[in-house]
Amino acid sequence: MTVSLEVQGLRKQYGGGPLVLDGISFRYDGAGAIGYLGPNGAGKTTTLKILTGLLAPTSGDARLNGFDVRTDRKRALWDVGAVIETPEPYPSQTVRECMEMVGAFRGVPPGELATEIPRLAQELNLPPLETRTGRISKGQRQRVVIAATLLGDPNLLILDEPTSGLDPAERILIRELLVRLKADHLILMSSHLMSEVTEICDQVIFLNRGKVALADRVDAVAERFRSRLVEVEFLQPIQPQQIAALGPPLRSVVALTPQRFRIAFDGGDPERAALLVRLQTLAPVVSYAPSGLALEDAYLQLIQ
Amino acid sequence: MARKAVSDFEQLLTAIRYQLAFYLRTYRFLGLLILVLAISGVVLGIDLYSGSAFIVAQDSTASGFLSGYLGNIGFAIILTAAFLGGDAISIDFGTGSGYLLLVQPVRRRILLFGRYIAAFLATVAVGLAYYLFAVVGTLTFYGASGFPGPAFAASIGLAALFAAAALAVAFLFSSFFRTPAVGMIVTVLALYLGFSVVTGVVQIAGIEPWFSLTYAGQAISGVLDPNFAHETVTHLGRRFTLTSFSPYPWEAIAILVGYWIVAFPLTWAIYERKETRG
Repeated sequence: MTVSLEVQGLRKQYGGGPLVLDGISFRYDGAGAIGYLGPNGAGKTTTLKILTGLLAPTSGDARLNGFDVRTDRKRALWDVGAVIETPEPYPSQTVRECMEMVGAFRGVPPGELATEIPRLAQELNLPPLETRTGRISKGQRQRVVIAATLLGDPNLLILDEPTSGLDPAERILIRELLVRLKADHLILMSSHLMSEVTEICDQVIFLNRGKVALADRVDAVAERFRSRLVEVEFLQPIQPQQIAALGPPLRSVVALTPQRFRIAFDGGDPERAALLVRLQTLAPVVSYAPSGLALEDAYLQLIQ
Repeated sequence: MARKAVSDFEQLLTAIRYQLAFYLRTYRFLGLLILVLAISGVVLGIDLYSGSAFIVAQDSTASGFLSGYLGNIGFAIILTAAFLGGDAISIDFGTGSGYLLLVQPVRRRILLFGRYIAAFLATVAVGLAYYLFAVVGTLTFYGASGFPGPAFAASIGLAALFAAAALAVAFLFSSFFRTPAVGMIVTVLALYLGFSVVTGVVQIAGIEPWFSLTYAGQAISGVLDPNFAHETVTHLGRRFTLTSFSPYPWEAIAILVGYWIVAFPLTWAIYERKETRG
């Protein structure tokens, strides 16, 4: 069966409040990784909760591997591994018991669990399997949940900020795992870390105020939103007003230190080169380079 | 990795197994069992200390002794039901455990039934521990020949029904709250204090509390009472009388089934629709 994920005209409203999701639609088939991006409150987690049956949509459909989450929940979630918000195993359970419980619900035979649990424990550097989950750190619990999610090898992974709360080493571990998994799994992951999304994902969806602002391939977005920010460092302190007085194509200036500034400008590479020439009239320039990632620029422009 | 299609029944067994393990691990079940064994054991110890002649003089029949002994079993059952069922639903919405379990390919009703059956088995086990001491006392003081087999079986049946109804109410309360501890405390207060106070006050007013869960629970011991009377009038001085009621067994069954029929399907409906927010 080809892995697929589809939402159609999804709307969500809590009580009489504003629409949190306002008719979003997208569809993906086959393996790959999709970054689900947007500011806090844009509706990312709400979408993921609807996809996993934790919330009911006000209207619209969500289908996983062809099955409607609302009307055929068990079959829709059969081949899905999901980490939404901050899942907590029962604190009284050991790491092994937590994974065995999830495995049993997912139909993984006990014989398979006996080999898969130690394998995942090693791959994800889990704490000793007989440790109670109430006695391990938040990051370790997060990794236990991710490991449990992978039991039965579901072909579709829905992950809500999967590396949040993890230390840098743990983040690298999960990032590398996801890069490996996307070769034969479909991954939908929300994140605020653009560098992580750039590294893991092939496609991105930008959500803003409950609507899809942009959905495209990561490389296409990078091309379209090539950085219009530069970071400049002078040899000596400069007043930001002096830089602002240079006028177009300069758009805005932010002082990072008395000598370092982030400058937004309009135009492309010729305008960037012209800007450098004019900055050099103020003081000797020590460094001058594009600032930020393409996805960050896209994010900032799309949410404004 | 090999996976097999897993039926609802297999998932139900999994839910029961892990819920029972949860009760054992959190020492809730063992704590309640020890408490009930201690209470029942102290009662039996006092009876043994009083001596056989004194006990038989108080209750001439084994049935009467058992009825008196089981007078407080409702307390044990309600306490157990409240502590085991008071957070059965809220734990999914007030803690992160719902984010682990509710995204699994398992129907919510299967999780609910599994938890309910596990809580029922644990509550019945605690109740039977109370019965165990009652049987020991009865055989010690009256021998096996006078043991009221059918009435005793009826009492156990009513106790099981009472546990089922009390748990259904505890689960319902649990579905109203997001914080497990609050759900449990409110359930204990409502089931133990609330019903008892209302039952007492209503009887003082001379009205039969046919709507009360704890009133129905009196049938557990009442069915063994050789001097059973549905209505007893006590004269307090020359002007005041106090009427107390005891439910008929059929009446108790109707009340308990009524509670179950209202509380359990309502809990089911709430659990199926409840959203995981926040």
